[in-house]
Amino acid sequence: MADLILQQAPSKVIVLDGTAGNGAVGTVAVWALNGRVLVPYLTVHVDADMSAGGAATVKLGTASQTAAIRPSTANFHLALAGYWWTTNSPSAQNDPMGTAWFYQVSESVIMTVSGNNLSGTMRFTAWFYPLAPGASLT
Amino acid sequence: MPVLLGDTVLQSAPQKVITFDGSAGNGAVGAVKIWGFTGQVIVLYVMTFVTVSLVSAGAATLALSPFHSTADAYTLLTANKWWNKGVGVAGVLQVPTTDWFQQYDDSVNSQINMLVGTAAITAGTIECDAIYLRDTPDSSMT
Repeated sequence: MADLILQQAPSKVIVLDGTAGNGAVGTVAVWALNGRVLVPYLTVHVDADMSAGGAATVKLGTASQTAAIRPSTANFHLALAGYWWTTNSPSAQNDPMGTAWFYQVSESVIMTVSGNNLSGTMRFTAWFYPLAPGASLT
Repeated sequence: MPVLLGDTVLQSAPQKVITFDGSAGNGAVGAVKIWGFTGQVIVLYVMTFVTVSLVSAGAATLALSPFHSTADAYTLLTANKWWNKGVGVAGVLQVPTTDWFQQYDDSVNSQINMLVGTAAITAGTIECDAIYLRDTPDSSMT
């Protein structure tokens, strides 16, 4: 038995510029995982308009479950700064969390870009409970 | 004047590493104890992660009532996967909210078990974590 204190992962502001690992079609590293954690809350905010040379989609998850945290979402749904990415069709700048919470995580968190290279800025924030001493998202 | 309630801190149950070997209480058909508890507790959340694939010479099933009350075939539980009823996935698992918030009273039932069915589970390891609130002073999961 031990008191359980909610931890905040380092907030990640990712400025996508369409380069490899940073907005090009493929993956973008978000958080590295050490051990296993329970993530009750995770938010993704569009800080600067997302744009692409053509149709692009993004999804958030891990290597094994690439869309388990956020579903595949067309970039035009994330085109406006101020939007929260919660579902595949964010429609307001104060979207509710809905059911996008409480994730058991055992792999590092990545975003996957498909279709065309993507530019823009996203801010990722997460709170977690470590499931073993020292477990963390960094 | 309003009555001020004290701060409440979530508790983590001790992590239990269950290594099956087919023996009574540890893989034979029947119950495998995970946690005991004292007093009344509200278990918010139970998480089970398979670190070593389960083995059975028969068609063994495993359940974790009431959290995973569906008896799943042991073949679902392979290494490096989260287990929830009917689901074994690597990486990330979002658990249905219907599995949250189970209330326990030690005067009625003082432990949380897994249930092995049909045939023994002779090898494999599951790591179990839980988060709970005390409903009575000094209640705990052990």
